[in-house]
Amino acid sequence: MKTIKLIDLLKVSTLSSRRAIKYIFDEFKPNKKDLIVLDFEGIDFMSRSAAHELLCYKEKLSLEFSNMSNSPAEVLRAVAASRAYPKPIESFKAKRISASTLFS
Amino acid sequence: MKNILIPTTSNNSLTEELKVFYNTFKGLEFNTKVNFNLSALKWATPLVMLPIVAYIHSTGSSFTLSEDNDDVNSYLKTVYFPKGADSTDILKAKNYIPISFLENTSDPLSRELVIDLFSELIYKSVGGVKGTKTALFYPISELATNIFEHSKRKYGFAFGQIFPKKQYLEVCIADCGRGLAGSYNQESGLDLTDAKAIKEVMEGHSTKNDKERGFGIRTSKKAICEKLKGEFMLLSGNSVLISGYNTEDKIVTLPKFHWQGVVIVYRIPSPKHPIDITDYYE
Repeated sequence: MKTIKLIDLLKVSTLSSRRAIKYIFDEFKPNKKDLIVLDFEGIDFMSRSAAHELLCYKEKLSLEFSNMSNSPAEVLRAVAASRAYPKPIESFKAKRISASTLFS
Repeated sequence: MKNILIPTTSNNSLTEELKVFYNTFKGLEFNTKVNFNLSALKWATPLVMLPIVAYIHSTGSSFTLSEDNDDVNSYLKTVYFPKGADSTDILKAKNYIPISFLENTSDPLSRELVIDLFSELIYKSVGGVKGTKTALFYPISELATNIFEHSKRKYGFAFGQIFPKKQYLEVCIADCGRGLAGSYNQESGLDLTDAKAIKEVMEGHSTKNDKERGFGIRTSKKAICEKLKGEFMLLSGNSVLISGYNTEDKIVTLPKFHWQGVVIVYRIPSPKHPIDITDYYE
């Protein structure tokens, strides 16, 4: 088992992007047999993109999380739920107006 | 070289800022070198200034300041106009949020650091109210990282400003990349107008042809307008989406105008209480 403390590795308290997640696994290059524990202590925000990327890795590797605070946890759960049963995409409707109308 | 006089805004509205942005670049063939004459500027707001910054970087254009306008000149210097602030500069920022230079370097963590520092500064600037961090960080992280995921440019910019009397925050993110239509065309082979490309984005269709991606801009816009009761604009090419709390979404095609890239701006009231945007995650 290997524990990776994310704040020590990344030097920031936020996981903003897919690239940050890819960096973690590029650094350690775990194989499927290794149990990796990502320690989220000190991480107070995770973006939707980062959460999605993390879940994609979780499908391929033996991955667990520890010390995850509410904020990143809620994002992770919401994205996992969306992957399992996506919301139907709403058709986007917008009124078309002219520039002259807008700026009048 | 063409000289473009930047007028000052006649009121505080975001539409007025958009009007100045539009008039600044109207009729300009993108990538033409120009001189931006800022001598008439009375205040420098994000949606007016950040596209000018992005354009200067992209084209090597120049700018002129007024010799008499010490307040504006001093402010522009403090916010690192037009060069943009790196992580070291952002760390030093005290009273103002600097124009932040988001660069896609070979160091994968350096741009994360700039986005993190910029977001922290925004959070502290609006009072650092407990329970508001996620709501403030979410749109910034989603919108800023789109520069690197989609624009195919190595850099972009972010800028923020607090309006203390009116108690709101304005954030602008800009790049001079391939734009939304360009991104759909090159990634998915779709030939869309700029307005249609905006519609695709708002329906969550990723350019990466992955049904699990493409939610960043759409969910950020919803959180900003619905939960944070703000205003939001997404501009690419010749079209702009204008959204706001309790108002109908509008798309405007701007005649004789083309922004090669994407500009996003939003305004929200400075949050005073914890905000839960969990419902907007997808």
